[in-house]
Amino acid sequence: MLDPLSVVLWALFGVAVGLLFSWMPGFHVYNVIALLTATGLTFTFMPSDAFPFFVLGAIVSFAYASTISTVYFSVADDTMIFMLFPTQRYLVVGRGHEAVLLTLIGAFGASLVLAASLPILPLVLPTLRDLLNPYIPLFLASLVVFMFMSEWLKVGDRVENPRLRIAVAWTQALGGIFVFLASGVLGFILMYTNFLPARVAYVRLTPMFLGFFGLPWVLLNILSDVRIGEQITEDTVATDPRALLNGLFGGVLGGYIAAFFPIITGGMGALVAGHMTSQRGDDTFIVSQGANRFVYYVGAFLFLFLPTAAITRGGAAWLVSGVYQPKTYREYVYAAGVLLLASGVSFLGTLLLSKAVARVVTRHYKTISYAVAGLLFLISWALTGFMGVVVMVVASLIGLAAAFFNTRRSYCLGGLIFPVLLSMTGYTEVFASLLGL
Amino acid sequence: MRGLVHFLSGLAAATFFRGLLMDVQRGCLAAVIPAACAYLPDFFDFKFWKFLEKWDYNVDPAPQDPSESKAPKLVKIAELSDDDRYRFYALKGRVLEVTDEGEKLTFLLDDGSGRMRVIALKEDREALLEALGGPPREGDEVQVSGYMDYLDGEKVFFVADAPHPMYVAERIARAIDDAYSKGEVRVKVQTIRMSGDVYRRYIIDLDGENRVVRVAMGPLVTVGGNPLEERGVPEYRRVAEARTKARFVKKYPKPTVIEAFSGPTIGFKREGDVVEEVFLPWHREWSHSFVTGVLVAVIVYILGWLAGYPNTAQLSIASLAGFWLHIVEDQLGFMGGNLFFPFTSRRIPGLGIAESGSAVMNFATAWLMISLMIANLNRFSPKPPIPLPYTTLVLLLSIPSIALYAYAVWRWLRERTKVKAEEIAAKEAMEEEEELGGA
Repeated sequence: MLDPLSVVLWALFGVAVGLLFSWMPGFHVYNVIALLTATGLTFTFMPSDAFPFFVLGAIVSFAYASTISTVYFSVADDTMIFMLFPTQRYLVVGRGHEAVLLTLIGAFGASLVLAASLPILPLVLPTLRDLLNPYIPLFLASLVVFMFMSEWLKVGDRVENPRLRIAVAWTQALGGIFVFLASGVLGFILMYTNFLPARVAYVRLTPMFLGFFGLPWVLLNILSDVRIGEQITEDTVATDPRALLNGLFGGVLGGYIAAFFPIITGGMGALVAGHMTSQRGDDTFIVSQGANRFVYYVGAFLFLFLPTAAITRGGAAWLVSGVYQPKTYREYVYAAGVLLLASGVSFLGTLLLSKAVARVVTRHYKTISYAVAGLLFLISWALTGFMGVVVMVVASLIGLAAAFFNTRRSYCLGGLIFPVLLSMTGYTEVFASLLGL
Repeated sequence: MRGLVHFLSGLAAATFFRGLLMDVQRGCLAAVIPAACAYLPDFFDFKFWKFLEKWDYNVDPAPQDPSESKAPKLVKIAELSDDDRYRFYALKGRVLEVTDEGEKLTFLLDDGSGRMRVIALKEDREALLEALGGPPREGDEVQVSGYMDYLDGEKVFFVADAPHPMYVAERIARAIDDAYSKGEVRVKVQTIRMSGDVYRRYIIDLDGENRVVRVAMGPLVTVGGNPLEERGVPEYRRVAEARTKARFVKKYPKPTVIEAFSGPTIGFKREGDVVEEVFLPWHREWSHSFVTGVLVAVIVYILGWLAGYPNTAQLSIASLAGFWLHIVEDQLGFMGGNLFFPFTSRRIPGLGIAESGSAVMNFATAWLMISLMIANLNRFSPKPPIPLPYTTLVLLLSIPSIALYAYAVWRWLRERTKVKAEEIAAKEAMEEEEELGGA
């Protein structure tokens, strides 16, 4: 059993690794952990029972520092896409750092809520798991149907002729279905064929996700020639306690939903919680995103530490459980401590990173966009080789289609949801034969 | 209520049927259908009916540039007609004859298609000087935004960052008078989308008592409704009023706020000697009727039967319950719905306990539905993981919902009392004033 000092040191090491990589667009902490595991680097110098705490530190700092790439590197021109995300709008008006700070406040609040809820999780979660597990396909399918049914048809509103108006509006809805199905087929092929070699199985979905969510937005930035104004880097936010609390509550709720249910991502959890708590306002939304992201990533990983029943959720938990499975209440308490310590350090670290990036991003935005595009290709090639790059390019086209149809980017999650739903309902073979696989 | 709350209600309705839940475990996801049916009333309205309606007036105070989907649209001077008075546009051309009188900057603009005098007053003058980096000089190429108006019979262009509210006020007033003579008109009111994906808020207040349509131009706001400026537009072009000949009455108890997303449609319908406002006439009509719910349930039954689904009756009843729950939940708000279409032709107002976007009511209802789902899943499990009787479990789980409902009702009663007290106080004050004036 590790002594408390070692736990702290390994966790802080994880925080440092997370902060070092997570602000860069395209870098996901899961991939870094996977690489460390695959290369055996971790085992040569790290005791196996320290690995969960190292990963916990890295995930906490990822939940904070990845805000940087979300806020500063995903700007798209408001003439090219119908609606900007609140963080993009903040950046465009020079308040990118404020958006980061709001996200961090949400994440920090979520870390306190998560830590406070740790005593009751061992009582509640195993029961909920036993109750809900048989119905997970129903919840997944429901969420997909709801996403399609509830999408706000943005375009066509100004067309005078009713028939033309409905036709224009429905191009978006049909475009959404196309994006979901195309993503689903791509995900299915990657999961059930040897398109990418088995040796890269642990990162085989990475190029697909880089293509869905990373590259299209960088390309849009380059194509639109967007200019980012001078950024204000004062540590102030314009909001009110009510908005903060509403955002925190919704974010934590959405995060728990996403952390608990397999396949459901933070964004989908946020959609559900946003409706349940009737969120309104950009500040509320940004705070909720920070909280949501934190609980989704960190909460899911913390479930691994549950002494009464380890619940393995998320890529990192699966990787760690293969190396070491925490079992004791002492480790659970250590994890709570690491959560708070890493959260505080990551908050300050990300704040400093944000100031540095804010100064650079305004001056060299175009160059950075090219560099990020190059980086994404490099990551894809390094992890999965040439075929991985091919997958990323195909996925990027699907991601660009989402932007072209002004539809939800989250439909690209069909790459994950569609094959899993087929598998859960027993239709994998049928679909494979339909595709001639 | 928000869409997800309705959807959850349908899902909760499905969990009352053992057959549907057993099917889920066998890989059949038919239980999603009642959830979809519970969302169907809004799906009909927002995905079809909204787009199929015919507008008599399309009130667009700030036409968008087609290539950029945002205002102001760059136009030629020669294109500006009488119909464009007060609308927000941009002009680009060469500056001639500049006169600066302190609070008023005037110059002539030549864009090749014609010439027009451009006037910038007070705050707009300052904003223009800041944007141009100083006073314009003869021969400079500039782009200015604002609206066309008349000054001593001459067409002039006023520099502004928004359309003049009179554009909207005049058209709404004209529509009301039109409705009086024609019987019914529909007015589509468009949003003002500006650069940076922000919107200019404006408010339409229908003052039936004084036969006045009042429009106020508000600040720039984000899609989420957060104001981006403290002062908004200058006072001299902030509010406009237009009078109607016809008497009219406003039914929806709040002014109409236009900001982000999609602008609303307002219907005006003559009822006897008065024109009545019908807010969003395409919404909550036939789609929010209990009768339509029955029709949907019958269609579900027929489709299920044709597909050979064994639990068709359960599916159909759950779908009906989901659809009806949607209607009942919406009646808790203000707008209400046409509950018995085709037997009734008007919306029955809601109880007005809370607005449809109320966080308290939405969360309370969503939580109640989740509680019912958990209790039902537990009840139908071969080994129930929660060792409590059904009723006890439902009651325990729904404590937060009950508390929030109680809070919402308490607030509703308090607000009603307060509004009534304010109304009485205002009436008394008016009476006192008349009394004093009379003395």
